[in-house]
Amino acid sequence: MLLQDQENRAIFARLNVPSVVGAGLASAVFLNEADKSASYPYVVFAFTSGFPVDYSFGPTPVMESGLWTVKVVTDLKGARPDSIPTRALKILEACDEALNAGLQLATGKNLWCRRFANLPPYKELVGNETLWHYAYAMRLVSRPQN
Amino acid sequence: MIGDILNFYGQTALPQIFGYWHDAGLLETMSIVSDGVSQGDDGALKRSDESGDYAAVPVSVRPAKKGETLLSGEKVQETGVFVLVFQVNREDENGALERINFDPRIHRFVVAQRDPEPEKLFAPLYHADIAGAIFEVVCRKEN
Repeated sequence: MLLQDQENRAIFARLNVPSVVGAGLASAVFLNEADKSASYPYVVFAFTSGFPVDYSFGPTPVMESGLWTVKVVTDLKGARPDSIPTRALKILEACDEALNAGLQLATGKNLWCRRFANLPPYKELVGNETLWHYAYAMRLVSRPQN
Repeated sequence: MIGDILNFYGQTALPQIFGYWHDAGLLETMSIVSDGVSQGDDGALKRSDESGDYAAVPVSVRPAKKGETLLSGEKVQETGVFVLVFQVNREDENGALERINFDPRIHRFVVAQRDPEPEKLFAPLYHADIAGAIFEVVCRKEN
């Protein structure tokens, strides 16, 4: 299994837990794309940027690095009784804490799993509702062999 | 009241009129289908088998504009835009009134084969629920 696939599965396993998905927190966690019936707020994570793969003196990769975006999408109704920034940042903090434990990969080994940068929030208008996206970038470093 | 008139039109007159037109061979027959979506163990969405939500719905199909070919997804594809018109309420096989709860986010239309015409699949682009009586849906043809 490609390392990126292993990392996606491990991130989902870390985030799809009661400390992130629950009352007053996120309704669900998705990779790349949220379900049409998902209620706000929800978490979407996605691979965002790669770095050159590190090789030793052969064709076998020894280390792969990448940036993932971890994002909360919410509207005002989904955020209540909190304000949108309060609810969104609370969920992002829960994501950060859950991921700080590191990732358990199927066959590889995760070496680094930390928040890399906070990203500016942005909004979009859907119907008469404003959706807010709050996100941070996370850096992962893993090696293919355990 | 205008509501009573529209209800009569949508729930009594039109289901019968569409039925007559269909029986007279003036309309096509379609089924309205949707995909089940679930989450994999990586958190991504995955499609399960298509399920038929409404069968044997009489429908009028006409092209809205001429089809075109385009390069999309790194291959040459063809597409056409059609207008599908069907009633909001219809009589089911037992004669009971049934509302077609069309959801443009999930539904697609499969217009039945009519030899030598093959089965045709349409995906909604723009839709109108006209006074709870008729759905008029602009669709992209998928095959």
